[in-house]
Amino acid sequence: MIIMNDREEHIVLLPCNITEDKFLEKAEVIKNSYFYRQLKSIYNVLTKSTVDLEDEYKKYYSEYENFYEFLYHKYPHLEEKLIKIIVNNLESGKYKIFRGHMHRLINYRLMQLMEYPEEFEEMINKLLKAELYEN
Amino acid sequence: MSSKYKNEVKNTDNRNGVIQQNINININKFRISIGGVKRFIYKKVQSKKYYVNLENLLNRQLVTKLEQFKSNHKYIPEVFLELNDVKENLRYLVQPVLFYNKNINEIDKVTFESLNETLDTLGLETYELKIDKNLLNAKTLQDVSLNTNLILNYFSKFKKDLPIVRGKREEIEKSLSEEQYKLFVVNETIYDRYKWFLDDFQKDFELLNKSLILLTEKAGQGKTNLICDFVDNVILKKDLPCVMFTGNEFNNLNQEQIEEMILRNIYNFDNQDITFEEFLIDMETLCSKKNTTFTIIIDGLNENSDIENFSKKLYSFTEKILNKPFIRLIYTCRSEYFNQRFKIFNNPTFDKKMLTLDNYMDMYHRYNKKELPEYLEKRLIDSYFKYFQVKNSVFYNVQKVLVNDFLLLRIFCEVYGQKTNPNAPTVQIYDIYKDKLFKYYFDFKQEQINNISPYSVSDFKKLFNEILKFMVEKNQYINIPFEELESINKDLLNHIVDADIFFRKDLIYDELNVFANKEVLNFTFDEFRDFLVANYLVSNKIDIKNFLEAQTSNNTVIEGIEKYLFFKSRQNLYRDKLSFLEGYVNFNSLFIQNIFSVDDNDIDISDIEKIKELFHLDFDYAKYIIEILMYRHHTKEYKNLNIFTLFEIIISLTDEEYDKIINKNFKIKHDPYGYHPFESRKGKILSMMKQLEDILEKRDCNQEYQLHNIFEFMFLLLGIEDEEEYGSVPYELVELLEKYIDKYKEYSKKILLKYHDIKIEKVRIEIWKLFNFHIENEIDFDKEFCQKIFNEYIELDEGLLKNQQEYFLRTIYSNKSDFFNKEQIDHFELLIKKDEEHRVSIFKYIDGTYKDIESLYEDIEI
Repeated sequence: MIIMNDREEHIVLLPCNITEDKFLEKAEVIKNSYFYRQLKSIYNVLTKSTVDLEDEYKKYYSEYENFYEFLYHKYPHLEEKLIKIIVNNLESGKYKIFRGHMHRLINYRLMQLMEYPEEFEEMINKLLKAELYEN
Repeated sequence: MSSKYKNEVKNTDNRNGVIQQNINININKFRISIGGVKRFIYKKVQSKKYYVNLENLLNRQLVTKLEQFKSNHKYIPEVFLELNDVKENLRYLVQPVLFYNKNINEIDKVTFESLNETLDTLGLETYELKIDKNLLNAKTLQDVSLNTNLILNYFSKFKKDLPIVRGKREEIEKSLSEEQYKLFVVNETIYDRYKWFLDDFQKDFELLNKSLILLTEKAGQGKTNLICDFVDNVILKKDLPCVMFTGNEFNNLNQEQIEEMILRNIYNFDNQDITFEEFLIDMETLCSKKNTTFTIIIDGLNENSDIENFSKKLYSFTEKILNKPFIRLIYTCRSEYFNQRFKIFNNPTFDKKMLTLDNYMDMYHRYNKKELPEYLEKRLIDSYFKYFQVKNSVFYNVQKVLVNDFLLLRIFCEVYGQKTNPNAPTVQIYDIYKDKLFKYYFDFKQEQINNISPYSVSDFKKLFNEILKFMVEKNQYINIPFEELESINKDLLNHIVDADIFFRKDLIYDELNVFANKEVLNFTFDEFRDFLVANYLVSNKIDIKNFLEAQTSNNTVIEGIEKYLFFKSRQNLYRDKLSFLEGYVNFNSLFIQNIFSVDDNDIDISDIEKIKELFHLDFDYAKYIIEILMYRHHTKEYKNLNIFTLFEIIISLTDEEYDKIINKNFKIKHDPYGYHPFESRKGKILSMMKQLEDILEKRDCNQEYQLHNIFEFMFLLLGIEDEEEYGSVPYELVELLEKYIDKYKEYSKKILLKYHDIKIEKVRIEIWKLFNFHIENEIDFDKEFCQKIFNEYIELDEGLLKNQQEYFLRTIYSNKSDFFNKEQIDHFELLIKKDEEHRVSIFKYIDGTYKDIESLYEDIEI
């Protein structure tokens, strides 16, 4: 689930078992097509060019008592109910949380192809559900 | 440096004086050596304990300072929102080793897949950042400094190597195939984006090599709150060596005394055995042990009483101390003071070590240039209320006003918060009556001053009286020169400026001295000043009429004073005295703009009559009156001026007036060319109806009985039009009221009865349609009412209203025929017969037999 997505950076909850091959397979797009390549690029910015936010909290922001507090104060534009969802998902052990720069590293053209950013996010979010990758 | 905590003897020519001086110096040396030896032994023998003790001293200094800031409410914990990167910059400054590693690890993970794919397709060389492994970890401050320089050089080279494509289209076109060129064009901006991406990382790395951050902002933007939050929630929690001061703690000091003051504060004014140099050596050792920096914070440089001198001494102090690589400095200053009085810092020798964040709070209360989202507004308000212990139930509309005006919020919290005011009023707050709030605030502050020795209530009153007297007599409400306030208690004034939010000092251009600016006094909150001036006018023997008439028309301050005079004019005590206001040309607008902010207890019948008069006078007035009154459904709280006044106004309207005012204001407009093709219907009533649907579903109006008033208002809107449906009543409104009738039969029946004879025809017809909806479920009208309606109905001309009433009466007749006399029964029977004949004639045409027609009719009904 892409949690925050603004011009500066994004935060995403990624299934622990996700791999590039599985992600592209679940997307059901023609192999090596233009869109296939763009999705591959999205997968890369979501996974390779990111930092594990829980690690970041532990290493650099130990002033916060726990990860919930860290998100609540460091990312005030995340609503409390959303933070609860994030923390619950992390506690389930099925997800990990990452921070990155999707908007700045992704092919801008791909964004434009989607009429509304929400639509784009919705499409990607469908591919980021842990149950898709459980087996 | 030999600054010890010993008073130095002034040089003197007389022999005895010189001898005396020598003796003192010797005594001083002796004292130092004893103290120094003791400390030296302590440090050597119990090194660990020595540094733990030093850390404890620093910690105590910070905790004490934070408590002071909390006690005068300059620091309100939990209200800081990290919406921009200022706090993050401070983190980088004080923990460079840690944040170097954060930054380098992040950039090391970045891959430029998208860029490279494009470059690859274009047949160009691909690029990836290749950070030298040796740079991936910094262990010491020295590592950070060296590595950062190497990284910055590497970034510069990398950015230079990225293909430069801007402005080179024609040149590039020649070297590419048509397909490649198309790809190149759509991705033309991609190269810049990667450059900008690296620029941001570059800025962060550059920050790691800074030793001083200077934050400048206008007054009241939260500089102190930011600094205190940083100290409270980062420095203290991470146990980082730091001390903090305010500018006014260095009043009348020279450079050496800056150092002395720092020591005195840390050692709690009782240690005389350490020099600043020795202290810095200890701090260097401590920082080295902890692998961190030592931060000195000075908040509010402008608060110093001798800024000219202080700025020079501070500059020398800064220049000298920044030679120590483990030192970090954070200064804050009001921007206008900084620009005028700290010019020396504009081009300092330590420029490379300094980062100035000018007007850094522009985005503080905003996010992505938008207003704060509602949940953050709520979070802010909740934090304020929690801190000040505001336990009153505060209505949403009040919270909305407060969140947009932080000075008002602060005053509100101090008045209603039990933390600051043990006698805080405990009532529900359904509106902000500023006049009343300011009075509470002033009275309560007056009481507080009693507890602060050596001041008294009369000192406090006298001070304000003198300032207000000056304002009224000189007709000058801003930039009051200090020299004009000779007779006031300067110490008390300084205390109030420091501890409260009444006044602030400002710098203005001095016409008499082109090389300098002079310091003046202003009220922090203009509205509060206007309140006090109005109070002063009515409480002293001043001819207010003459005073107002002597003002020039463009004096905007007078508008504010008039507003508070108007509030006074509604109070019984001053109604007569200020009745002359009603003769003013602008009285109508003064009245309408302010009457709804008058305490409801002060509203009398003449005010309500005036509102009704103004409603008919001007559409804009009418619109405003509707906007306010429709939300005053809490008739228990608004006992006098509430939604009932609006009901009275509406039922008095003619059809034409209703159309011109109510329909124009609420009708649903058709906008087929709007941005969203499926949302061509526009009108504020649409969102109102959605909210009411929600209320109907989730809340119980019988528990919150005042909600019924909003639904009653909706009945009165039954005459508005939906342009998309050719002027019929919006179907959502009818559905909403039908649901309401279903859920609240008793109350809705009362409303129907109340408006059954409303003279606005469109509304009356719709009301009667709802009567008929009501009686489908329950026939609970009495004989007397039915008789009354029968008599009305007989008199009506043919039309929609007559049809509706006929349907109603016939339904009643078919269930309760004993409600009607013989003549009326004959009338109904005749109608039934006529209908039957009409029905038969229609269906006979379709089919031949009576029986079949009957069954066909039933089918159609189904």
